[in-house]
Amino acid sequence: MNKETTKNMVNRTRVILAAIVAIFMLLGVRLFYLQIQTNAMFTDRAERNTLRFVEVEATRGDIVGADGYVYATSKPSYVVTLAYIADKEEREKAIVNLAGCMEKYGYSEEDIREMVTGNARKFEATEIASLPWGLEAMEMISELSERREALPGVVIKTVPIRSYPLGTLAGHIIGHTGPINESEMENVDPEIYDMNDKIGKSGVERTYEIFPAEDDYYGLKGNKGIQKYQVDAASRPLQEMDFSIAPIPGDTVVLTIEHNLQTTLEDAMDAVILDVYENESDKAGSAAGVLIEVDTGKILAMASRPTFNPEDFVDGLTQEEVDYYYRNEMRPEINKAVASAYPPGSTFKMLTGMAFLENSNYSPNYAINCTGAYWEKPHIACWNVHGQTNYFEAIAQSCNSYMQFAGQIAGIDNIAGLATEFGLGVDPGLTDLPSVSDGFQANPENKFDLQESYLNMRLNRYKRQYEEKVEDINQQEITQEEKETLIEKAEKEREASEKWANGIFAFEKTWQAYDTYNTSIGQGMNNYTMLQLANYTATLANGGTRYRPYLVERIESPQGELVWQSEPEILQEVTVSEETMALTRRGMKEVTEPGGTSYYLYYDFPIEVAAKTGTAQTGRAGDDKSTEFHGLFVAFAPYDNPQVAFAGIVEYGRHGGSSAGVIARSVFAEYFGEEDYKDVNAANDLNSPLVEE
Amino acid sequence: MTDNKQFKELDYAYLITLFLILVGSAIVQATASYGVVPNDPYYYFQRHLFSIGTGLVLFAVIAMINYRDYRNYSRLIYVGMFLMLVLVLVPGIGSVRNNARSWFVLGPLTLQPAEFAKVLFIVLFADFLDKRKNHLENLWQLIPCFIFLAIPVGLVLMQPDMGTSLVFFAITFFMLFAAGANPKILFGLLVLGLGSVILLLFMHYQMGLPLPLEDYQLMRFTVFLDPYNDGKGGLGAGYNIIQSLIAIGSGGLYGKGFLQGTQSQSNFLPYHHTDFVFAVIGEEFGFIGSILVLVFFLFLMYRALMIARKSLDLYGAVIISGVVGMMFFHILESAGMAMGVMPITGIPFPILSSGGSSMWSNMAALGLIISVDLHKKTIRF
Repeated sequence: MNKETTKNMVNRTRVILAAIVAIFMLLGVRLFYLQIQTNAMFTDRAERNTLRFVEVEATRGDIVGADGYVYATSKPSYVVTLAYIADKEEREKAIVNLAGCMEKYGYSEEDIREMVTGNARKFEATEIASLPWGLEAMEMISELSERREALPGVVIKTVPIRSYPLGTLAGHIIGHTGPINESEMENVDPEIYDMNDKIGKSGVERTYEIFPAEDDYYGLKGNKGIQKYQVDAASRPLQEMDFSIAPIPGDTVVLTIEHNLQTTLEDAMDAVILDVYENESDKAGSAAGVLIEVDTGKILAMASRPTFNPEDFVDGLTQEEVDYYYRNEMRPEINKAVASAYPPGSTFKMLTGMAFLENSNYSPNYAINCTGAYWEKPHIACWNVHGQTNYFEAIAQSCNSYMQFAGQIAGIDNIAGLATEFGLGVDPGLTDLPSVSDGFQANPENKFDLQESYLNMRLNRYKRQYEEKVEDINQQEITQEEKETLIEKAEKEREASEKWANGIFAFEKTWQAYDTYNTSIGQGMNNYTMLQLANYTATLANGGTRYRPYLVERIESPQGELVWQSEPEILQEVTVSEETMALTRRGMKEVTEPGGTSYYLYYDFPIEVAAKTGTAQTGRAGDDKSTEFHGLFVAFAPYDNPQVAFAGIVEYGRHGGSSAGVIARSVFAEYFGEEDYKDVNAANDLNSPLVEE
Repeated sequence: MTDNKQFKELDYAYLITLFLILVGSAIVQATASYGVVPNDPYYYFQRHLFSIGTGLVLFAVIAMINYRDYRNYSRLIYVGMFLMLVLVLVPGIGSVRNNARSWFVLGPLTLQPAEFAKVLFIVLFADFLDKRKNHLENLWQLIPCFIFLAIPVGLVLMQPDMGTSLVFFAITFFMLFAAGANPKILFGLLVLGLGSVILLLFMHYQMGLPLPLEDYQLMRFTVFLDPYNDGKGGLGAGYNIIQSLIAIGSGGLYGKGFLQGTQSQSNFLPYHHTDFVFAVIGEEFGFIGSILVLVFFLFLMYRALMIARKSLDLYGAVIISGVVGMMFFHILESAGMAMGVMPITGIPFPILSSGGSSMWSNMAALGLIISVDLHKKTIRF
């Protein structure tokens, strides 16, 4: 190489080096931009790539009885999910591999593929299987875990599922949960719920689902947690990381329900229903009853028949169960104790009596002469000829004639007003259950409104018929004159109908004397729930204080700390004098004494029970009004120091004493620890010498 | 041939840098290739160590051989290169990987002839240029050089291997420049070449000019400009770039640490132990690690150019320029692709990527440089 070439070579290597340095510097600038300038964005992107946040359901709170019995709890179940896999081949591979493990447990390739393709939220994981804790679950889960490498995207989670260890016991009170639906979704806080959640559907499960407290909330639901997972590109979880937010289990709801009383009530109810079914009516099957503490309003037992088993709803209903719950005239899903209003029958008579004594100068010893029917039109019959009957006898023997007389003297306004004070036909104040009925207390105003609405319906019908006729006439091919004649005729017909209806309803809308008579003996338009009748009896028993009935004693945090404690709350002090109430209680006492309608049931009962039997017309189409009755019974005990009050109904029980009365006897026996008197069948064998017809 | 003096005057800075790069390479592969074979997480790492070892042997052998001796065997070398590139195209002899028939599979060994062809080409082309020195002044005189280039490039493109064929262009450009070709013409051609590619693509996309390439092939070439606009919302041709950008970007200043890169270790980033190895470096060793890698390679190339300058032999200097051009282009393309500033062509990062052929061709090429250094004084005036 000569000098010239060497110099050129030096220059050229310099140029090459300069070019390389320049371009490397550009790469360095790019690196700086990516790693320093925009590092935060890419860090976030990398995390989103690799971290999956999975909501973790909180364990729902338990529902327990006053004595610690667990009615509703949660137990772990395993849920197998398959993550969304974008690549079709990868997805197919995952399905095939998963089916390979799960085939023998009843999940075929087609099933799994269908579930994956049918997933409404296609970018989210699909739930493949949900298995309760058990041997089968353990087997399957261990097999899946073993083959995890071959199962990208498969995640096994433990999810709490609801369990109702006592089955149907207090089933209506407990209620059930289910997947949240769209209309429920609209009414809840979207920050707390999402479409995958379950929510309380009925009973305490529903009412104690969630309720606000300062800046938090309490309730069975609990707070969802969020679990972080690190996943690889195939969405295969690499490791479970710490909770971002740990779930907080729901609170425990402690009921006022006493297990022994609830069991006794339900057992007695079943036995009586069976007896009624066998001896009285094949329509038997429905019943309701409430046992309430008179000085607090605390509900100690409450039952409704046919039974409701929350456990049935845990995995969704079978067709058979759907038929049972929703295609059944007896409506097993309804808690009849609070939601079904029945005519009170003779259990109403104490109210008529009190209104009578309060609003007249008659002495309780004043006697009327019962000749088997009232002396005023329409001469509503008594079920017996009682002859000379005073206040106490009238209650003891349930004399219709006396009570019609009493009602006539007292007047409907006083009777209806007093009924309202005792909580009949008004909101009973129970907030612990959903769908609590107000019942219906008839009075002249609401009778007018009711009949007015019937009248308007009828007048509207006439109007419609007339308009249809006119249209019809206008379409006929006849002269204008002929049309006018026909329309005029139709108009006259309509006017005639309207006049007739107005005439009829002028009478119907007005409160008639017989309405008072019917009300006085518990028939007619009045309808009350057993909760209302029980609380009315309790109010009478405790001397006129109507408490708010409740069946949740307290709420405890998952750690057992007291979150909320219920207190007895007075809803009303009735305006009846203490003396009148004492006289009325004495009348009820005589019901269980010789000559009383329930003497045969309680003659040897060690505790003094004050009661009232009732029979009520079913009011149902197709029922025989002269032979088919619901049996009702209200009672409190002990007579001189009342502690508990009961109201119950056995549909088609015919006689109050022999149906609901037997149930009351059994429940009182349990409450007072008189085991020997608990047996329902022994009570059934008692024959009544005096049975209200 | 050589004596102690020549060994004493060897460029030890170059050798030490190379040694450090090899150590770094082992570290990088220990993490980048970890778990690629799930049941044998160190499979590729072991292979890589083997490649480094055998590569060092190759390096030493090549270094010891006087590079000028190759001039006597130009025809033979040419035939070898030609046969290699032709045979690999024959179904039954060459094997297909990643849609290209670029491989000889010999038992556990897979060899990529194009990798070796680059080095052979450098040696042959240096001789070719040395014979034409001072006759590279105008376009007419350069045409034979391009014909010389066209043969291997054509064969490589038939595999097809776009990335490696581009390397041939880069090598040619560097060597022509070093050999004293008219820089105006060279830069004119470079601008013209890049310009016409851009113009053709522009006309294709904007005016529907038909090109003899499938859309997906073109997409791979242009998607780096907007990786989300790959027709599949970033899950198609743009996916690799997006994941690579996330890997590098999320590495930050210090990186996530050895084996801690979520993008690479969790397989979001494809080819992370081969073509996208630079993204692993970016993710796990951060800005500092990435810059360090670039600086080491820059220094290696700088020392190589210093050797060229000292060699006082145009032939040797042109060989070194070819090797530097080859390495430079590999680094620019591989790192640039990972950073989203170069098209996806899929060529390895020199020495750091997993793969025996690449390692051996690079070690051989780097050995040539030492051979030049070792034999520089044998010409005495």
